[in-house]
Amino acid sequence: MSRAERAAVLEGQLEESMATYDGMILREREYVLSRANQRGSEEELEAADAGGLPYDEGGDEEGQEGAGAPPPSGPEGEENMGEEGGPQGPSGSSSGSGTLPPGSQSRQGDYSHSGGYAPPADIPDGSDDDVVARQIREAAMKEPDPKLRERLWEEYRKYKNQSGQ
Amino acid sequence: MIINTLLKPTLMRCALVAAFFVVAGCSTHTVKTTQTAPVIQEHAEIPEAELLDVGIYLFDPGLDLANEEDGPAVFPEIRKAESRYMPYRLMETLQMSSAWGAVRVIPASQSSVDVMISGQIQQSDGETLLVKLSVKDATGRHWFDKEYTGVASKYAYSKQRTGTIPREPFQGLYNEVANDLLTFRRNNFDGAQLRTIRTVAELKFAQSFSPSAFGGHLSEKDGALQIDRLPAEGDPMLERIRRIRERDYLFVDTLQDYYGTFVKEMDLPYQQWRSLSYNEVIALREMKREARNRTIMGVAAILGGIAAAGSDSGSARAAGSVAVAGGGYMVKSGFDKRAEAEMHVEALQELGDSLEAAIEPQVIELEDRTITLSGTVENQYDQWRDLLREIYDLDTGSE
Repeated sequence: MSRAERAAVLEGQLEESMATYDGMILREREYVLSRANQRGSEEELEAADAGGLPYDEGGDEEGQEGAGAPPPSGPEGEENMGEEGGPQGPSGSSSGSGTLPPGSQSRQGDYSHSGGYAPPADIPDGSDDDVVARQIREAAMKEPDPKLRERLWEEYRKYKNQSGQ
Repeated sequence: MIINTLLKPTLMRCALVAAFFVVAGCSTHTVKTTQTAPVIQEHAEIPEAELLDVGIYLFDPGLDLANEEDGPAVFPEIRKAESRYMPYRLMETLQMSSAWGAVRVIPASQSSVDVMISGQIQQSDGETLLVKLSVKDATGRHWFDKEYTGVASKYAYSKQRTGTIPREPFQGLYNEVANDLLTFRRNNFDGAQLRTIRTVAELKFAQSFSPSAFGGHLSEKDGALQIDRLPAEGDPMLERIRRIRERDYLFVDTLQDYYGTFVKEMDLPYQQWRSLSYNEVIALREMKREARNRTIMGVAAILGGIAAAGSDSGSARAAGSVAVAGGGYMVKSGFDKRAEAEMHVEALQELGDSLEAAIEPQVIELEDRTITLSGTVENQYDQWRDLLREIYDLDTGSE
């Protein structure tokens, strides 16, 4: 094998492993997101059933200021991080781009899901995509490197076949 | 006899004066305010190349410092949870200033972030939060070390909390950190220096993946890294490293999802624990203060009474007897107060145990998940390091 061929093989391995890594990370983020949503629903139900007390000892104290009812949860409870504006944190978000100040440009590593390259002909329109599929699709549409883009589409096809969509 | 006569009134006066001063000296006055200094906003447009990323390490829970004799018990599981909760809250606050690039909570293995904040929790009981922070940048330059203390207003936990009082009882502390950080950056760095920090961070990252290709770009001088030379524009190895770095950002972003979910889950029980603990800590301190004052006053009265009992005056002797009896009663009531204080200690213990039981599974799950993902990612990074070394060897003909 010539030096150039060997270099091409190594580059191919690098790209392949990056595509695999992207798929792994996206699946992990999907897991966290769905778990957060699931927990959110459970907590709402528990709060409704138990009058909002998060754990049993909570209601035993008497005369405790602020202890009679839990503080508000969710976004409405976070209104006062400071006097100027609310938090822009990525809590529950699946994108690192939430950490940038407003008005600044995107930077390396920020995973914004917008724009991009048209999908191959065999790729469906994505109307029935779940969150993971959508993230892989958007990553692929955004990837400028054609080889890596094709790897991502491959990952997308694999995922769609696995999930039976 | 003469000495005895002289000593008795002196002893009596001394005992009473001492008691007065001890009692007066022990009273405390804590000012608590609901005023929270706002986060200073960066209104100037900062060029992309000068926008520093900030990494906040998980805090040291400070369990080594915990000493039960000095205050309420420290609950290890709660502290471990707080060591994740507090950096996350600080991260949210820093993001509000619009002065930084990506602000993230990072694991200890990350060392190539532009600015890194490490912290140790020294006290956290719902009433007082004491954290020690240390800030440095990618070049190794030490920005500052500072202890931050926040005292929660009782209104912070109140149901009647209005819109002007932050939901986070220690938001003022986080705001202060954010403001200190921004002030330090504004006062100490110009654009070129900020760009240098960013470049050093990138070269450190590159070095960690391909020491053979980037080993000679940085050197240490006076404890800080400096750039000796820059990679060529369009250097294919640097391009590969940049693509890997994007993946590293993705990994860190995933960790943010973990931490965000964890913080959301623990927020409600933690907030309630802090509220209850706040009341118990204050009640405990009051009880201890009253117990101490009553004991001291009682002992002083007994001493004074004993001294008066030897007086030549009948009324003084009668007063002395009353003082001894009254002193005895006060000492006893001091012991009663101590018993009451013990009840508050037990209440705090129960509250802590309860929250620990509530959040421990989440702490364990978070740790498991983080360790597993970090291990997977680190394995992948090792693979990439090997591949990059092979590619470099091929490129340079050293294979």
